[in-house]
Amino acid sequence: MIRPVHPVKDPFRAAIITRSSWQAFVGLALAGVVFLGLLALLGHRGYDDPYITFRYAQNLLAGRGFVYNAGQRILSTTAPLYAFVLAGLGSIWEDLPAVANILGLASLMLGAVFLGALTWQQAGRASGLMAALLLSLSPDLLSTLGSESCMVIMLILGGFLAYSRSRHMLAAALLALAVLVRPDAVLAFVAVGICHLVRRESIPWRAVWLWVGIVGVWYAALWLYFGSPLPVTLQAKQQQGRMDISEPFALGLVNLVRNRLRQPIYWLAGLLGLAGLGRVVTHRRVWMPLLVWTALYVVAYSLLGVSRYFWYFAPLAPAFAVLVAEGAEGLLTLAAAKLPDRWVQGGTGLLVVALMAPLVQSTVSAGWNTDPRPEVYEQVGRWLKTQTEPESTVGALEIGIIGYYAERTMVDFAGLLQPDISQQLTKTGTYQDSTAWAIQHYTPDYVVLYATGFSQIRDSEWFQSRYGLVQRFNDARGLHMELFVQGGH
Amino acid sequence: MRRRAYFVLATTILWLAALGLVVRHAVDRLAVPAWGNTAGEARSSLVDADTAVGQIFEAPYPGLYRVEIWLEGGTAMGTVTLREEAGSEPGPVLQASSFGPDDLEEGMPYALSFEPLRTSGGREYILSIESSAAGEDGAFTAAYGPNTVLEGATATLNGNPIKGNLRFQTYYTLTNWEKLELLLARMAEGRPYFLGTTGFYAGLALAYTLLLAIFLWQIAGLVTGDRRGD
Repeated sequence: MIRPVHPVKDPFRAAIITRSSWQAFVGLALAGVVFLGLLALLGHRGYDDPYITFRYAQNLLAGRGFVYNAGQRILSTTAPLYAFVLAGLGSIWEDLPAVANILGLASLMLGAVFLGALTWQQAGRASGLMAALLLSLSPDLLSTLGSESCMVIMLILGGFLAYSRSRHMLAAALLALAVLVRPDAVLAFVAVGICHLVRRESIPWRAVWLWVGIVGVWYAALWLYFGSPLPVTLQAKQQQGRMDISEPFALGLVNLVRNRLRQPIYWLAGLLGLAGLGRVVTHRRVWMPLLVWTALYVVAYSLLGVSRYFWYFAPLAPAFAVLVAEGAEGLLTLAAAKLPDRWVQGGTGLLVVALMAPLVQSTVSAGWNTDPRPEVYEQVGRWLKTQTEPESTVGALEIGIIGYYAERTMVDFAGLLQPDISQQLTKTGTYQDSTAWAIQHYTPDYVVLYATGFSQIRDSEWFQSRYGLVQRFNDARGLHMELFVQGGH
Repeated sequence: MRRRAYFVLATTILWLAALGLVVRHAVDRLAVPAWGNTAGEARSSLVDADTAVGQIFEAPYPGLYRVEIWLEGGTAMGTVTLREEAGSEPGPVLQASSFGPDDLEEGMPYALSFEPLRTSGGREYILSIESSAAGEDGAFTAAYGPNTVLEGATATLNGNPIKGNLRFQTYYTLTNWEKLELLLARMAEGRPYFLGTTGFYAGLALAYTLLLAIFLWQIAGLVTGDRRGD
């Protein structure tokens, strides 16, 4: 039974609870301010892949069913539940890209709160708060805004938090929802299972069956609807990973770490991260599910053989934040044993600001530098929507943004929509090879090509005999796209 | 008690100064990309004593310091001038440069560099290319994209706007204050009510700074408190 606190009779306990409430208030207020600031700074950002999921939501809202191309039941999104969530929110505000960014930022802030709360009731609470602060500005997560990454990580961290408080049913529900958002989140459930078995605690079977039930029903439904619960994009990404011009996930991760460590601004975080790893493994059990999940994730993606994409590294961000925070707390604890409290307190703030330096730099840079592709792709898409017949087919290499705004049947030269195209991605081949095959095989009415590159196709006799240039799209930053129409001479 | 207050104040100022340095370093690294039209496989009309080609453009940023134009051929001398557009009357010449055939390299642009024009943002300029060539002999051409569309820009022929744009690039250098102003303006752009004011975001940054300072004190207190076993 919880003993009520009387501020006069029990001032010590009252002070602790009051202090904790104040700390929680400041943390939540900070999360709110960061949310608003990042929304203004990064709210307009986007990249191509999430728009494939947006189109599923768009088609749901339009009554065309849970499909990408109308009438074709192919699962080409790895985030089916995310599409449903967007469709639900889209019924209130139809600007799906904006809704997705708001949802992503809110998920990131909530995920940071969950991370901080993991150590809330324990000694060593400082590391949780530091980890939350570092996660809230993680460039690896902020760069994925629009996609389901922040949401799935938030659900996983929520599941870990619930598990740490022995709320097994809630943990199972949250971890199951994470799998519905993105299938590889199954690894988080496996991580919790491994940690639970290592602790030799009794298995909470009700929670396990709850997880199995939710995930089982969902993927059975996907199987019935699409004929397979797995998205065709997995095969396409694996084919891409086999190409000589592609960089596999494992090598990409090594190069990412190497490139970061070349910058002095990351050296402090690197050193503290290593120290933090030792600290977590030896006596910070609360973080073990997170670390085990991260390790399983790296192994799984390395074995899958997928091509390296920047959003695949996002799930590593929470573990990185935790390791750096634990290393920092370890360093400060050592200092506190030898130095006066005032020095340690002063040093704490400077250390945290130093750790924030690369994150602030990345965040400001992300808000400043905009990729010209989303803007140009949107122009192409809107042109197609207003200037072409509704039943027209369009072929492009990046079909997300173009497809979302064009609302036409799309042919994806990278094979994310049509699995037989991805089969053309061979080890020594290039995207020009799959593009040429796709155009000759599917003969789309319109073809979108980059003005530079793809000259092998544009200058070929077979292409010039079938297609004519109909429109150019230019951007002042140097991106040029060309739109060709079949029979247009 | 007073010593404690001075210590807290001094330490907080130190932290915020460090944060300010971090933000300044981040802003220092920002640069605006080159702006212009890089598509242009066609050639303009021959530039000779009777024919001048040009490019009108609205500079998107302050700090214009360099303009590049792609020129080819010709044996006569030529002149590139940069003026600010001032309605129907030609504005004063801001920069001018003469060049000969030896100054032109195939595939490479001819550049006009000058001290940054701090007030260039939003102003209209015209880049004119003239030649002393008599007729076709000695005349040169500029790279030209007849189908290119660039907001606030158009090619000109003898001072009259024509379809398309020359192939050209403009470069800008911004001070840190200008970068911050631009960043705040982008954050406020298109947002409703008070969310569309840069003052709101400046206030948000101040709120973040204050909350962060309190948050850091809480972390610092937890570190020393944990050591004492509180």
